[in-house]
Amino acid sequence: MKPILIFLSSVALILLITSQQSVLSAEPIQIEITVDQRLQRANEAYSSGRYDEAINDYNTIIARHGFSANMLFNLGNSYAQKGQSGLAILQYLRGLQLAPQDSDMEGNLQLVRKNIGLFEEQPTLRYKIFNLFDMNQWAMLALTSFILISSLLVINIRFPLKRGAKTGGLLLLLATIAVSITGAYQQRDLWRGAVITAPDTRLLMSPFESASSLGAIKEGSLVFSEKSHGNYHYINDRKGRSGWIPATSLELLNVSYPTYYPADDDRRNGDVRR
Amino acid sequence: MICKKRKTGLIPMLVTVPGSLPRSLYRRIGCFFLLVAFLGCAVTVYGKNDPGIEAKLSKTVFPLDSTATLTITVSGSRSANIDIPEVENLIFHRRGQSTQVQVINGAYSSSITSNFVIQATKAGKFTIPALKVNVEGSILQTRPITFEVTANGAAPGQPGNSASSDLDEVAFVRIIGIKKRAYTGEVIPVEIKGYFQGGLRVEIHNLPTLKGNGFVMSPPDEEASQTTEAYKGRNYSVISWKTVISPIKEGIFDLDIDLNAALLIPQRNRRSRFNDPFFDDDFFSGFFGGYQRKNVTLTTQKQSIDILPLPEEGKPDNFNGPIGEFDFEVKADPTNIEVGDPITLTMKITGKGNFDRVTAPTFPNGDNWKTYSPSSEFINSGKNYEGEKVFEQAIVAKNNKIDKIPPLTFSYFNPKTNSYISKSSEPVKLTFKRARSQQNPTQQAVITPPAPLVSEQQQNTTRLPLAAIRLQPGSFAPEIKPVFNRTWFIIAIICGSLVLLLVLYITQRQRYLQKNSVLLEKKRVSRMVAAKLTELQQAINDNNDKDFLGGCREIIQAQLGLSWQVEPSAITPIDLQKRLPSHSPLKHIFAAAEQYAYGGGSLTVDQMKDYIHLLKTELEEMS
Repeated sequence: MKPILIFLSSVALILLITSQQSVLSAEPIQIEITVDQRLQRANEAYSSGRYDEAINDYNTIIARHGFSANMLFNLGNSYAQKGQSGLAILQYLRGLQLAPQDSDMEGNLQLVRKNIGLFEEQPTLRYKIFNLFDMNQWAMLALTSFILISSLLVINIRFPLKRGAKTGGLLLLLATIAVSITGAYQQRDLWRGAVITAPDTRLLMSPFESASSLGAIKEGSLVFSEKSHGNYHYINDRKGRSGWIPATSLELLNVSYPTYYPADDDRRNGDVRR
Repeated sequence: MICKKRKTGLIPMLVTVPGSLPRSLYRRIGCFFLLVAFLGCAVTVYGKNDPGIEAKLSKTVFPLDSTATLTITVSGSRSANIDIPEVENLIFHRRGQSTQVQVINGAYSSSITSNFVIQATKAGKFTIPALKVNVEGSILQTRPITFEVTANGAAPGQPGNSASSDLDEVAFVRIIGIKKRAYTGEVIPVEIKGYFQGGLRVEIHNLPTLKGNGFVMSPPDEEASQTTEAYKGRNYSVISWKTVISPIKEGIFDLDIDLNAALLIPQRNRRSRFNDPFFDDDFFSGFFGGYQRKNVTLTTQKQSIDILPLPEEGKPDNFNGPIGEFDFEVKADPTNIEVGDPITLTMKITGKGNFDRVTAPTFPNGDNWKTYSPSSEFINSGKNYEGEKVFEQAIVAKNNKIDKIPPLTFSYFNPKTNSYISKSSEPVKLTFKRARSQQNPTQQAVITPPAPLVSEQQQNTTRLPLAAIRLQPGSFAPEIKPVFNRTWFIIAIICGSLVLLLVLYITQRQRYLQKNSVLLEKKRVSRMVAAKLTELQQAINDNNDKDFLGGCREIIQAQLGLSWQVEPSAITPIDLQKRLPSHSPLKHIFAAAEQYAYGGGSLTVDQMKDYIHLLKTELEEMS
């Protein structure tokens, strides 16, 4: 009797396992969507005015493949058309970090800013000079000059240069380094800043909801987070105003990894990561 | 004549003998001490008043759960021995003794005051018999004092609880600055003061709280100021909080402020610091780390305030609630513009009042202007009802038909004058540049389209004229990070720095060697000798005695030239004979080389090996 029971239970177990396997293998076959296909789908959604779909797809591309100036540009456009100006400005500013000379990006940024009444102050001459290059370019110029100085001095050991040429060259390169560092420092705001993404954000005196208000700060404003406490950031802006705002009201410009991953949408669309 | 001259000349010299004082000064000091001694005696004699005694009881009727203070004052003496009699059902607690000494217009007086707290163990009428006091040998007596102790809580002839009334004198709270009439929404700056009798130790853990309806109070400053103040003839330690109270309902309301405090009464030291029967209360019976702690809630005296509604008469249309005293100022920048250029309108409202109700004055609507929602910032001057509120609003002129920014009006209610006040700004004159849009009519179409985002719905329906989206994904970067935070950049900087350090080291070494030419020469000779020795070895291998001996000669000349600081080629066998020891093998090798060069000869391989061995040995010894 006992061996029969053991046999039957073993058979039942085998059947159970095989049925589980058949259930697992019955999952729908996932269809791979390439970046280009997803981009095309997003662009179609944008053109049709379905901005939420477009935003979802652009975000998915960024989450899976990293940041690209083009995707940030398209995402910024989608947010701008949807009326989320703060998020649009955020994407444009991020895009400008990758493609500082992108005039379309700069133009759209100015248009969105102007549209919500965020007017930039008239740039000073110094600003214009240091704005010739972006921070990365200034940094690269400084690095190149530094390496040239090192090379010049190495060459001078083997093949001594004329004193005047050597001094002149060194001074020129040192001056270039100094200017580059100053230029990079002037443009640090674009990298260390954050953008107000929530409308009607109020500056609070203390990091809690019922704290007294110090004033309103416009959506899309560039601010700088000095410290944080709980779910609040202590920020100041270019006008020197400062106060606490909820962490949900701003997004940092400098991000190390895409923060959005629409996993639910992928399952729905049967998409897999390439 | 000479002596006379000397004598006359010596008189002034007497007062200037070094190390002594002049006689006139001695006389003055002596007089001063005499005067002081005389005055001292006079005062002492004058101060010998006849001693007197007086006994007082703070209350003649008090309940059983309370106490009374017996004060015995002995005047005209600095010491007194008071003998307290035994009285049935009465307990005398000694509360210390104090001495007062006064000198008024030379009149000296002294007195001793002793305090006793009297506690009864049962109700009834009591008499404190005449107290005998020994004052400097003489016995003085007080008069008997009769008093009544009633049952607990019943104090006939005295309204309320005596302990409570005592507390009112020892610690109480007042509110300063409150008005009898106020308007709803008005901000009333007040000061809440907690008074605690001098010397009393107090713990305050909570801020004052507002009781009752009809008002709201801003949280008082957490850091209270502490001062000393005389009030109704007593000295108090005063703790003050500044805050604002704002009426919220119309009608007559009572305003009460509560302050919870803990009074710490010293127990071990029975010397009364307050001379107050309040501390004779039964809470003294326990101990708490040397202090008796009593939690009390101090309440302000009720003050009724008539809260009025704001008058309808004369209320401006644009009034939306500010009450106080304000100033209003408007600035615009830039004023030299083109059509479509944004102008920042800065509206500054300064003063005192309910700034939370101060909103930006409304910009007049019209076809000529496009306006944006203003931003606001409140900068207070340490008080939340005083400061300046600045509004910044962007406005854009739609056409050049306008020549000025219209005046803006700010209205508020002044509770001092009970009237509404409207303040208007001056119109700001605008100058239009020769607009590029006029030169190029198509450009105006580009400037004007963006609709103001005051309405989001409108924005949703109107597409922004943005640059077209990208059809290619472009190159991807895993992160948005400045280049100087990237690893390769940091490595490049480190490598460059190392190269610089290396270059620095090499340069410094070159300079060092240049400064030390002997060392440099030594190195040169050393290198040359090493090379020549290799050649010698090769000559041995080739059995080439000519090259071998020539090489030996050069090595010897170079090495000796370095040692003797002479030109190597100038060294001759005679020099070697003179300057080298007689047994030096260099002489022999050099002589062989000379002979071979000028007289011929030959060397075997073994001889050459011997020579090179000797040469190396000598060179090692020389270096």
